[in-house]
Amino acid sequence: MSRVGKKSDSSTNLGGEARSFPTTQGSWIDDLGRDGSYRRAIDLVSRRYWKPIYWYVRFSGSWKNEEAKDLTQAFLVWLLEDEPLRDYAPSRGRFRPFLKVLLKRFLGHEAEARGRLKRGGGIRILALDDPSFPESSIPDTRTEDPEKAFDRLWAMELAREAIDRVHARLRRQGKEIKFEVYSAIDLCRNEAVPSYQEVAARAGLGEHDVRNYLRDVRAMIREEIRGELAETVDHPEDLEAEWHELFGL
Amino acid sequence: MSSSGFDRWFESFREGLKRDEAERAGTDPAGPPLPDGPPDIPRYAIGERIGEGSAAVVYRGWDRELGRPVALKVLRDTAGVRLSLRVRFHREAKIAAGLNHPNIVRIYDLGEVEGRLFMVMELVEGSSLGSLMSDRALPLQDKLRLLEKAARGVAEAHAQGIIHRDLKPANILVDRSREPKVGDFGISLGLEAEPRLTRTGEPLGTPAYMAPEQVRGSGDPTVRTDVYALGAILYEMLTGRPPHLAASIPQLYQKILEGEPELPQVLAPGAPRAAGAVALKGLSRNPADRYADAGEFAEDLSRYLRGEAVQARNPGPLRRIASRLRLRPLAAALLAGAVVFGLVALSAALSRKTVEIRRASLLAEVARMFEQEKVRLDERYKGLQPVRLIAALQAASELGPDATPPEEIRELLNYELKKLRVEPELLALLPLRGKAVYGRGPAAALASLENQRPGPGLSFTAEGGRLWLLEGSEVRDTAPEHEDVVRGYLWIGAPIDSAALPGMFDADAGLVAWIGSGRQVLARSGPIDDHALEEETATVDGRSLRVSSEPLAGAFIPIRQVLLVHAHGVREFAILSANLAGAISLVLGIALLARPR
Repeated sequence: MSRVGKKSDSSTNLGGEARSFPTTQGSWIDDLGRDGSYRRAIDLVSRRYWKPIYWYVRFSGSWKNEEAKDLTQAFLVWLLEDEPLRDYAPSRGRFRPFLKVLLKRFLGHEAEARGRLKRGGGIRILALDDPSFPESSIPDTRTEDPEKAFDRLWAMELAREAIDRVHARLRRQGKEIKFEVYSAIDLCRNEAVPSYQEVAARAGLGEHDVRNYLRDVRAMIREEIRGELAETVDHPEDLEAEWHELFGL
Repeated sequence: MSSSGFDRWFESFREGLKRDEAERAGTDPAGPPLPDGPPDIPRYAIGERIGEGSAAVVYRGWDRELGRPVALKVLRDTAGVRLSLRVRFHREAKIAAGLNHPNIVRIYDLGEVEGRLFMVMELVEGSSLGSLMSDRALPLQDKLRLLEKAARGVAEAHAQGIIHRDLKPANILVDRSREPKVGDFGISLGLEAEPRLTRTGEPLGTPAYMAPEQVRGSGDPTVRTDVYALGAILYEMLTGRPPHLAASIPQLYQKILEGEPELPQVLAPGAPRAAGAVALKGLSRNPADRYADAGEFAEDLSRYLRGEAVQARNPGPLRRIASRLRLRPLAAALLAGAVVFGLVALSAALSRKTVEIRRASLLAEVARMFEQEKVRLDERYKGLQPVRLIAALQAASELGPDATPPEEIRELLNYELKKLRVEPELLALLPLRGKAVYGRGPAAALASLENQRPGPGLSFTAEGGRLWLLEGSEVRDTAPEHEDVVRGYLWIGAPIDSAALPGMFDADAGLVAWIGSGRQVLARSGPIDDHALEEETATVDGRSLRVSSEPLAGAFIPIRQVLLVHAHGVREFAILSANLAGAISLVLGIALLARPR
């Protein structure tokens, strides 16, 4: 049978192992267990959750920035190569704690982890070389509990994704004003949050509208986040537990 | 936890969620969020607020004339409700008021005061089916009995020609004597501009119980729409989760439209199969395959409860696969080819002769299908040959920013995209001043292609709902949800020098291939690191692969692990890994059948 080979006769790992036909849709959790889409799911996990992973690594040892970046890369490469998430299913427990356990275990074999990174031919999964990172995203300089940092950043990433999606949706619907009202109040970076009255006056709206918009957008974001969480759990109680642990609600 | 300046927004954000949560629970310390307090209706004493939704507030009330407790539902912002809808509301509510069934919440009165519509209903003290469903102490049989009774209530409405349209566990109330009562009849219609917004104090739920026809928004709902919702509720009772779960509403819509729910017994091994079959029949995507009305659903469910055989049948494996794949004839033939070839490959060791015979007859069949499809499309696009995605893109982009491409261009695009195994509907509309629409129906999203005109060397692949482009020397990854274009950095790696070459890559296999000097096919596994990876030569049976003409752009993209090129005057393929007989055979089939133009 034909194959693509290197210039020598040695076999290639081009493309990895054979898989079945690609499926282009489906939940990413399902992707983990499905032939051919594991990589895609890890891609998503990497993109979405590298910050919590990085900060967990950073706070769990005395790693400097560069070392923590390398270990983060190594962990992601490990997820990809050894496929430890292959058998993950929501019935086995919630995803976030599950990933945390894997990370902990991985860091327990740090020397091996570093070797992996070298063997991996310098595979870079993430663009961690943003010069403003990590200083721009220090979760909380006074909290160096890796568990807490991990959970908090996880929640922040979930929130950020949800906010972005809702924002995009409102923009498409021509209802950007709703998002503006919401972000003026709920995404305010200052200690002094503007009053409804102030926001109403600035946006040329009634206070009633401001309240309604705020409520609508909050509900949309809540729904987005819970929808996302629902992917990773098997039971409504677990959903509530995740919701509570991540957002304190 | 204290917060640094960086994540101050997150504190603020969480505060917002807390307020939202408190409002849902009716415990908002800041008081009611809306200045629309209870209206003053002389006949009714209005008490505490017992529920609230986006469209209405529900109060506990007392009917002074008849001396009985009632629930008063007052619509918010009635002035904003269009006149036609108000008329509809009155009409529907009047009909619903005529419903008299122990399993339907009675409507007593209807009126308008100070320009606000209100409805007076039977006060049901107890809980909702939603909360009882997750009560593990309540035996499944009891839960099913509640649903069966509720379905009888819905059946009564169906007999009167009334459709509920918004059945879900939260609006099936259960009183203290465990009698279920279906609420909100007659008011779903018209007032729900956004179907996700619910009304009476329930959280803004997910549209988990919406039928495909509701998601599509095509045609009026029928009694079978309610049957779907009953099926969904039954499914959730059996498995502990709705039939479809997704990360976002658009994805959920998509699953409702296209997905097949998992067999209940797979999710919950203890779930009775017969009851599962009833749920799945109710959940049929095609309304005609569901029970004719809620009465039939209730009857079949009660057959199960009585220990009799139900009429619904669990779908057989073949039907499930077929329905899951939703294959079009050509694809079906090709897939069938793959499957049979796979079997052939397995049996090759046993009998070479048999293999040859089978392959010949199958090839003939696949060839026929392929030709038919090709002839049809060639005929249709005679003036647009060669049928190429790029040509189509060009044509679409030249129409101007506000034009909708004519049907034939869209169909052409679909055809080309199908060849790339991009879901045909994934790209509904192609670049108009650099914009592309992704997704289907409600899931559609706009993505920017950064105003790049498509040109030679442009290649597409779709992964996880995103579209990757290789254009000139740059790899782009569109992220529809961000309406933005970001540089791809995953799997594809740094920009590659392919300015003069048709770019081809398979994001999933991490493969980038291009044509080197002497028409030799070169490949690299991605992600590419300038220093780390060697260039590799694609070989077939030990000799290097050279293209004799333009490569079949995209032809190799969809099929993982396989490189398909037009080489040595015929189409050849290189298989990166040979243990997937089906995929190999499929490519073999295509390679042999798709004769060069």
